[in-house]
Amino acid sequence: MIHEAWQRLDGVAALSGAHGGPLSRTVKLILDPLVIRPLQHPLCAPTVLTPDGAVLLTSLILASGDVLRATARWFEVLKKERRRLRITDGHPQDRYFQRCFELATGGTAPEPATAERVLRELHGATEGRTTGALKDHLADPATAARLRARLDTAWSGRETAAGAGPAPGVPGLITAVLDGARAEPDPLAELARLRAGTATGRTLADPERVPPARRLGLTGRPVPGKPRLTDGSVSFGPPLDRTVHERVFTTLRSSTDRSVLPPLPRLVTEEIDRSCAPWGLTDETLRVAAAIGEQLALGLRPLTAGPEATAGPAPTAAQRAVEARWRREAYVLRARRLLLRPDAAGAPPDDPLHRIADELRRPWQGYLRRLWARLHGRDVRRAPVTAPEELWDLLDGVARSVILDHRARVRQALTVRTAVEA
Amino acid sequence: MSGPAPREPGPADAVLEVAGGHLTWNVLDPAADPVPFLDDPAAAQGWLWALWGEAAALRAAAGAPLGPAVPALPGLADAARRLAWAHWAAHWWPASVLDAIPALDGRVLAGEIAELAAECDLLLGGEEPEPLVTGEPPAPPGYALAAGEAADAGGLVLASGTAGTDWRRCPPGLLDASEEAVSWEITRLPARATVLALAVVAAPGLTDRTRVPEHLRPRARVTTADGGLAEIPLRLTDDSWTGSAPPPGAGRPDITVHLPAFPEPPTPDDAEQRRLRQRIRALAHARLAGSGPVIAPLRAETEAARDR
Repeated sequence: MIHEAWQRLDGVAALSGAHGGPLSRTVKLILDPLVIRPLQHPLCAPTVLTPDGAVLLTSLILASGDVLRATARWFEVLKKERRRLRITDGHPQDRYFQRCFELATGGTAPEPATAERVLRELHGATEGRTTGALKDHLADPATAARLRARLDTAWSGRETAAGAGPAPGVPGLITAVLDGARAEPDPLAELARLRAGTATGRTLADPERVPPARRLGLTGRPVPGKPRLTDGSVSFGPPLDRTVHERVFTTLRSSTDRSVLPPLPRLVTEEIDRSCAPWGLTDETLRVAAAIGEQLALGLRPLTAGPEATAGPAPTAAQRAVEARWRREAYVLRARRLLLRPDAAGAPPDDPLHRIADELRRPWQGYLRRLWARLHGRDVRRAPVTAPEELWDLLDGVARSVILDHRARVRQALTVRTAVEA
Repeated sequence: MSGPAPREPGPADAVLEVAGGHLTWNVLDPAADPVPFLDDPAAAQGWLWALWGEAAALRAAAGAPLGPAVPALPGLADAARRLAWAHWAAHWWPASVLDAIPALDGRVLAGEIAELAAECDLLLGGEEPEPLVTGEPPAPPGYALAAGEAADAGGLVLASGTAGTDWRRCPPGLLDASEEAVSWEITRLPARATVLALAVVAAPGLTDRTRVPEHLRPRARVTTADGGLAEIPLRLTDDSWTGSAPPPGAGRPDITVHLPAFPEPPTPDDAEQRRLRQRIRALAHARLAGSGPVIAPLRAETEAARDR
């Protein structure tokens, strides 16, 4: 439907694919969130539209024709300026599509000078938020002393495991969320109301926890300790062992637009508080997401082709969906002649195959590390997860990235490089 | 929600991962519709209409079988098949010095895959294209080794033979794909010891000047009718993988070259597999000769044909 309506527009080639339809990113970044807006227009939400939905969707797209044409022109101008300025950072569609739509909506006519300003804004406006400035900030003795004092206060005042763990109904609610159950009250909202994320996060400090934080791969110690401010390097160990320096460093590194971040000193103090909080996160919905993610991750059984694969159905809909992804992956890997026995034993520990097999034996660790990184990013950006669909996109996205990463490693390990060694 | 699980893909299956599932073409019958497997039919709705037609997309949404493909965008359907073929060629192309099937240049192929993936953006759902790690372009062939060189120490040859390898047991780029890539000899040495020596021609461009890490070195599993079994590690000597051991039993040895890290293929390496490999070699020859293919030649194929 989108495709048909799109073909009635002219002058949108810059946003179109090879076959006349909109690019995937056009749909994902512009049409869906800014033009069709299924939340406001529920008729446009289902994958198969009713006749009324089709009419509405077509009219929404056609009504935005002028803005979309201007968006396309803006995108062309930005791309041209990008080439001229020799910017190679980031995917241009990801970085510019929404900004172009914004410019087009504002009615500014596309022209190179504005484009250059926009690009410098998007790519250059770090305003002191650089990893170098971070290092200098932490290296200043007076600042460091003040920050260490704050870290001590935050750590000693942290919410500890004292008292009970999660409320009795929490496991059932987590299962309900993972099963996609619709209920009143909404189980996801209920978990946040019960502060189930905080409760599970506190138990990470308990060495008797089942399973302990170390087994989850969140720490290399028996229980997570007080984070250090910095150890002068960035090495990225398990999430809860990272220094404040490393945590802010990743924030800067992974941010597509540093100009929206708080100023550097505040980034650091916020990170100190966050690093002492349950799960290393401040927002309750994100802690809840971590607790749900833990349950999902512990049930993962990737690539156990053969007898173990039929060891019974996965307990929840979410686990079944992730397992379907892994099954699909096993098929693709076999089609690409990129297979590894999960029991590739006998190899020395520094053998890449051994490491990959090891990860497959403890799949929840890689999953939770990636999930934590995304939750941490959201916490910094103050982006809670409240809608079940949003949570599922997040959990599924992590599964996808774990799988793609696995494929890249297997490919790397099994590729024969015929280049002659010098 | 998606029909039975697909059978394991083999050497003739060109697989394309798409939003919501995967599509599989048979390279020996490229004009036929691909076999779809959709584990997330909702995600597939973004492209089903384009490849199978509006009516089929509606059938799928209602949980019914797709039926025959009537592409609304035939150009996209062609590009998808071509992309699947390019992925197939990157992993199963039967490069062989013995069969005069030159290797495809991995970098040219990777470039073409990236272009086709961009063209198939609608199908791939905006996900990053599959990364390809590629080696250097293959060196010109310089095949020189004769069978059984390792045992060429003046002994009496008791038996000898040649064999092929099961492509499903190794990643691409290790072995020559020929049905005669493996040659073996059982020799009685002057000291009256008997030795089985074997040589497997390496993939085009691979020689002992290439440093192949330990975990990528194949082995030969030798079995005999009387139950004998030996695992012989292989090492690169010139442009072959070679190794030797006392014969594990009496009679004609059966040789399986494999990478220990690879799982067993789902079916044995039988006459049917050998026929399949033969048909794939014939396909490669036909494509290099440019004889009217359903899928237009890739640049990497055209270059390989030119250098032949």
